[in-house]
Amino acid sequence: MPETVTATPPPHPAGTPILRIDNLCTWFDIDEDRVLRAVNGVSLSLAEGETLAVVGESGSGKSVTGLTVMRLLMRSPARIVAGSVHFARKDGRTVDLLTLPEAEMRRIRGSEIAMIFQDPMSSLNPVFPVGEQIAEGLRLHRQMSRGAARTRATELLELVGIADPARRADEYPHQLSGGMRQRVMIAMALACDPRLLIADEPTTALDVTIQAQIMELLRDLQRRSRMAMIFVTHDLNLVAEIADRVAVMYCGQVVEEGPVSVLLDNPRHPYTRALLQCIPERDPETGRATVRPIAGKIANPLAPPEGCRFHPRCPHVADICRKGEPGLQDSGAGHMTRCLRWREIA
Amino acid sequence: MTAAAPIPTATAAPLLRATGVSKHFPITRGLLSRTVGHVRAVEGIDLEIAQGECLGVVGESGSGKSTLGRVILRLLDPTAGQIAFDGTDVASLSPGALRAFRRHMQMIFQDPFASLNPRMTVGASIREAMRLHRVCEPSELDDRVAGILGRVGMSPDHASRYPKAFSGGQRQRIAIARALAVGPRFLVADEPVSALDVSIQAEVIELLQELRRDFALATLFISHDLSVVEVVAERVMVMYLGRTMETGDTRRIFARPHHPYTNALLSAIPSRRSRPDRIVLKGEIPSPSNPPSGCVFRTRCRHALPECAAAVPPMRQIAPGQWSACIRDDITTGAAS
Ligand SMILES: Nc1ncnc2c1ncn2[C@@H]1O[C@H](COP(=O)(O)OP(=O)(O)OP(=O)(O)O)[C@@H](O)[C@H]1O
Ligand SMILES: Nc1ncnc2c1ncn2[C@@H]1O[C@H](COP(=O)(O)OP(=O)(O)O)[C@@H](O)[C@H]1O
Ligand code: SF4
Ligand code: SF4
Ligand SMILES: [Mg+2]
Ligand SMILES: [Mg+2]
Repeated sequence: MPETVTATPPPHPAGTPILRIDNLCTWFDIDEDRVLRAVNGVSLSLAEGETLAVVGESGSGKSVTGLTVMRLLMRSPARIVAGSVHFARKDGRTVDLLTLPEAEMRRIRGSEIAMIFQDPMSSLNPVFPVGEQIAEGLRLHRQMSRGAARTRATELLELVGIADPARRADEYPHQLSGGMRQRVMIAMALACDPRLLIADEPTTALDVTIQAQIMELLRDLQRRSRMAMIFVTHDLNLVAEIADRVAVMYCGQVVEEGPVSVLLDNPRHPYTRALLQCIPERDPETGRATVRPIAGKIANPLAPPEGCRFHPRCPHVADICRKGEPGLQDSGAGHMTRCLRWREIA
Repeated sequence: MTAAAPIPTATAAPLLRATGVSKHFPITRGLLSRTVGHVRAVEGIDLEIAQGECLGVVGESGSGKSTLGRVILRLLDPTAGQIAFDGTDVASLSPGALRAFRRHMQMIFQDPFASLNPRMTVGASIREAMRLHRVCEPSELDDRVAGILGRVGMSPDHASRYPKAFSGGQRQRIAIARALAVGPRFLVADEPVSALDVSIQAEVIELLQELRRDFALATLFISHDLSVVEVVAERVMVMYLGRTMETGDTRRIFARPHHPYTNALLSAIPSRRSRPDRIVLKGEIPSPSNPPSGCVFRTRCRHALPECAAAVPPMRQIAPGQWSACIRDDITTGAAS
């Protein structure tokens, strides 16, 4: 089995790339003789002001990709086996985040690149008022005084749509609802005007109504700054609402990537097509809503299938799929597909 | 509730009927646990479910869906109201009679760990449930366990493993197997697929649909995901702050919601098709310990009039198979998609 997969160069998004991930491989040493190739040859790039959605089933490597960019997976059992993550800094320099000294990374993390998570409690400290937690970042990265940071924190809470922000600033995370905590996380992430925001399933735990509020907030904030965003989700419907481009991941690899309208209206990879059919949808003719599950089981990342990783579940599988490992191929207009048979099944 | 209002009816003779069901939790303070108020989690709910039918319950977090499910199964005692299951008054069963009665009414949860004992093998868990309800002769237990595991798409040798060895989707299958093992006629499914990936979610939905058909199970399907409810439920009930806002035929209501809250919920579902007329509800659900007077939705309703604060709007029939508790008829709520 090939150790790593050499990737085709990623398609170039419009504008200057702010982030360029090349052939990233993040593995986990599970025990003496087992290695989990969580991310295996991922290449992605992102322009200023652009939103890239990363979708796929759980375990496909979405979060590991985000955490690697944040450099939060540098220690055992995680191992970055290959790849680079080039980031265009505010001062104009382009640096490889993976080889940067930790002191410099600390100045970037939470300031030029920020991340929000599905579970806000995991990144909010339960024993400090939320306003203080937002102010802390400002004092650290912006050298603001205590008073100025506090004022700014209150402004940020207002910006993310929290009513009565001055009072809320003094409350502890457990006193807030799930939607409010997620807003606090967003306020915290935006405090230092990041150039890149990595949002890992920021609305998965929320009601549709609150999700709609958060999505509107994110879109609005992006309109005002030139912030680029990686939006991780497993909800393909949500993708249509926020993203410019989409990357679909399966078993540690990007299997399809392209502009959002092209990919959702005209998916080429059998996995993307199957994923779209899982979404409950109403048949306009009969009025009946249905779902169509994907055949078979999600690949075991410890023992991924030979050849195309999707082949045991693919309705179009042929002999070649079991042997050769498909590379990402450009199928026109920045639409990339990792399928040996995309032309035949189109 | 006006007594004259028709109860939204099941499509056939109901197996289960709840009338005027309320559940209030006391709010206590101090060492002496003085009661200082009440959380009105469920307030005057009427519903019916026929054999083999699925009623979906939707609404935002805190609207009272889970509390309603638990009260109907009498895992919680109602503060008011009647619950009749096939002629038996569930609300007045003695503890002993209730235990035996549980055989007919089972529940599955969002987190299958809540119903599976982590220290018991899957087989032992299922056997225990069957023994408790004397479903079969002890000598038949193992065969039955194998049979029911097969029925939910697991293999018989999974019986000897512990819950932690399984993925979320598999655990949900096991929880379903355990619930079905005792031969219930009614199932409350509380967010059974909400924690699952879309692909696994689709599998579990299919499984539940199949089992419901095969066992003619009546189901109360609780979910905050309206698109899932649209797939599984023939009828739907929209809850807000403990009350029913709108109820009736799922297809009818999804195509033509009457109540502004239903309309807002439907319009918030993300969609691949563009939806320029999206309604984004402001704010959050108010506290059920101090609900607004009159129509409980009025503090977030963009169509609210002064008279909406005066009295709780009665449930009224809007069209065949559609009831709504909104006083206005002059609002055009577009079809959701
Ligand atoms: N044991 C309890 N004591 C006090 N209040 C309670 C109790 N159980 C529920 N509540 C309150 O009752 C209301 C309804 O809760 P419930 O869990 O039924 O909502 P839900 O619609 O199921 O919400 P979710 O979508 O979050 O599961 C909430 O305000 C909740 O905080
Ligand atoms: N800290 C870790 N140690 C070992 N394995 C991990 C760790 N974090 C993630 N993994 C594994 O890496 C794979 C990808 O995980 P992840 O990126 O979290 O998936 P998702 O696409 O759901 O975000 C999974 O198989 C997961 O179990
Ligand atoms: S390479 Fe073959 S198995 Fe893989 S997705 Fe394409 S057709 Fe299916
Ligand atoms: S009764 Fe009034 S406040 Fe309530 S939903 Fe109707 S219009 Fe809105
Ligand atoms: Mg993840
Ligand atoms: Mg609940």
